[in-house]
Amino acid sequence: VGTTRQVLDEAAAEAEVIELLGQVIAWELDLQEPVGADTLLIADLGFQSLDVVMLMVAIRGRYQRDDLPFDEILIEGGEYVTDLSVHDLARFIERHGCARVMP
Amino acid sequence: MTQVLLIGLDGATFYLLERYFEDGLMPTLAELVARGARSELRSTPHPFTPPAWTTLSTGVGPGVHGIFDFVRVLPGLERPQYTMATSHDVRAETVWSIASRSGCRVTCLNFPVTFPPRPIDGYLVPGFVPPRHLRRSVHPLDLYDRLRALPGFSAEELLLNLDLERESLQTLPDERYEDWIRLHIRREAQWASIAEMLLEEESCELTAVIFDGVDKLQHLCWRFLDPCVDPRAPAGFAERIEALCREYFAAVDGHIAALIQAAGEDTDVVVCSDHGFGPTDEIFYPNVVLERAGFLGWADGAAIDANGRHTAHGHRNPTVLFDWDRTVACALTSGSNGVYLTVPGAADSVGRESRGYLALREEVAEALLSYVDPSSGEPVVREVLRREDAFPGEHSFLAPDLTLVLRDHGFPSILRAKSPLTRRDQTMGTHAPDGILIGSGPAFQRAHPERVEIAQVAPLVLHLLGVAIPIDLEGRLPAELLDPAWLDAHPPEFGAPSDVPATYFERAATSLGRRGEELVLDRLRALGYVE
Repeated sequence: VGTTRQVLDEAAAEAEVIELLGQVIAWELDLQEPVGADTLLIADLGFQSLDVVMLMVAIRGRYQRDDLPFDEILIEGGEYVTDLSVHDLARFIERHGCARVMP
Repeated sequence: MTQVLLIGLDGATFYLLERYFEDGLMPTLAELVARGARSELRSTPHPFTPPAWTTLSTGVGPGVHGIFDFVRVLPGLERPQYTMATSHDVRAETVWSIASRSGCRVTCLNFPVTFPPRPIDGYLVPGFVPPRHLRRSVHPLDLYDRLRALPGFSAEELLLNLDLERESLQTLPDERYEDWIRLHIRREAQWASIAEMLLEEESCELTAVIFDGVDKLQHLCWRFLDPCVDPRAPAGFAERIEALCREYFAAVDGHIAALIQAAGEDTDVVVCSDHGFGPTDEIFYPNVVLERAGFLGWADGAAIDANGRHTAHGHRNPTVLFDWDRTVACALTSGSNGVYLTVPGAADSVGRESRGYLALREEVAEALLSYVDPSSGEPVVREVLRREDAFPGEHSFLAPDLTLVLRDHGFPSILRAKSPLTRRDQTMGTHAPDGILIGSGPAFQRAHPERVEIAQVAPLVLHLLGVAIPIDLEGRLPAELLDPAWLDAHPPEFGAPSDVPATYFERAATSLGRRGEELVLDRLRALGYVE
């Protein structure tokens, strides 16, 4: 049985990130607004550093990619970034040609 | 009906356990040894938890299964990056999977690198995942509700608290030792409770559980446990800590007794560890040696370690420690004892290593081997392992380019320091090559072979289950442990090669890209390796 790969544009990647967050977040959240492009992982969703690691693992699995250089979005000017938005992640996913695997 | 009970005691060594057998602290384990087979279990070439347990559960070496560390270093990038190693990085079939597809149900608890769960017929709770992610990490998903219903269940205590673990291995103050040990007594009670519940309610043919507090306690408390070591502790403190550690070991023995009772008397019981343990009195800083030899430059602001730490604070990728325009070789993680080279060819999977790479690698190895302890003139690095020699297999290219064997088998620090070698204020525990293997039950005979290899446990477990051993496992069946009459009645069967799981690793990832190749070529030119 073959599979096809559908490369994501930025809008599709944003929707995928939001869906992935729904799977990864297994803790209580008290959100005033729904998760959107500007939502921040740490400030808004209560991510801790290991949660970021687990999200990266989920992204690897989702797109069956093991070569994604996450440091591109985690390190800036030799220092670790203090937060990441849904938009940041979506742009990263789009930039690296991640594709949805379709049965 | 349970046929095999596999109990892992992470880091257990006969050096300590035999004292506990003799003084009656661990009567259950002592009885298993008295009735059955006992051998030292030789770990992987670098005796480290993720590769060793993965070799134990797959029957192949790290060069085949591809796990070398808790993290997976992405090869071939401009500068090394790493991500958490997961079950998808295991490129060999596990006994959990082989047994499942052979008609056996399996319970697998607290094994490293089993997240996210691979398909098995049975129950899996991975080890080493953050507590907040337990709910979505168990297999099947509704197992989580059964765990929560257990008396005293606490995901926070059951699972990894990385901050606390790092602190405990590096800088835990004396006043927190007792809490740390008690935490592990409670943790093991939880794992035992989960295993007992599944034994009683599901009775899978294979039940496997790791008690990993043995390793944690021995790292921190070796000076209180080894009678040959001066604990250098205030009056009364050493006695209290030793007593609490003994309470821990007695509790583990009690859990083993309860699990055997729940499994049934006719169950074959295998108790094993992923590596042994011993003392360490020093910290080696290989990156300081590499800097002095011109292979590494520190990033601006890379702090000098003054606290005997092995890694930087927090979970941050240590690549920020280095100035990559001046670095061609570095120790990136403490646990792997690995040195990574960032040159073309270092990540080539088909042996096309450039002359520049091989020449540089030998120079780096020589620089590390030639460092001597200034106080004695003795080398600190006992051996430097080349990956293709130490970890043969199609995934050896994922191993560190070089793996250091230190004279005390310790883990190096990756940090910057004033000197490449410092003495510890106190003796700590560190891994050693020889762990334990005990087998007892209908299949075993009283036997004491000197040594069994860790890759031999997988074929042993499969044969005890009556499952054909895939012909591509590297470890041979350790028949010397088994009762000859039982073996006559149960001759080993060998079957089709194991079913290597699909992974999403892409070889294309080894490409450096044009900019990356130019950068590393510049570095090699500067060092005189290419013109």
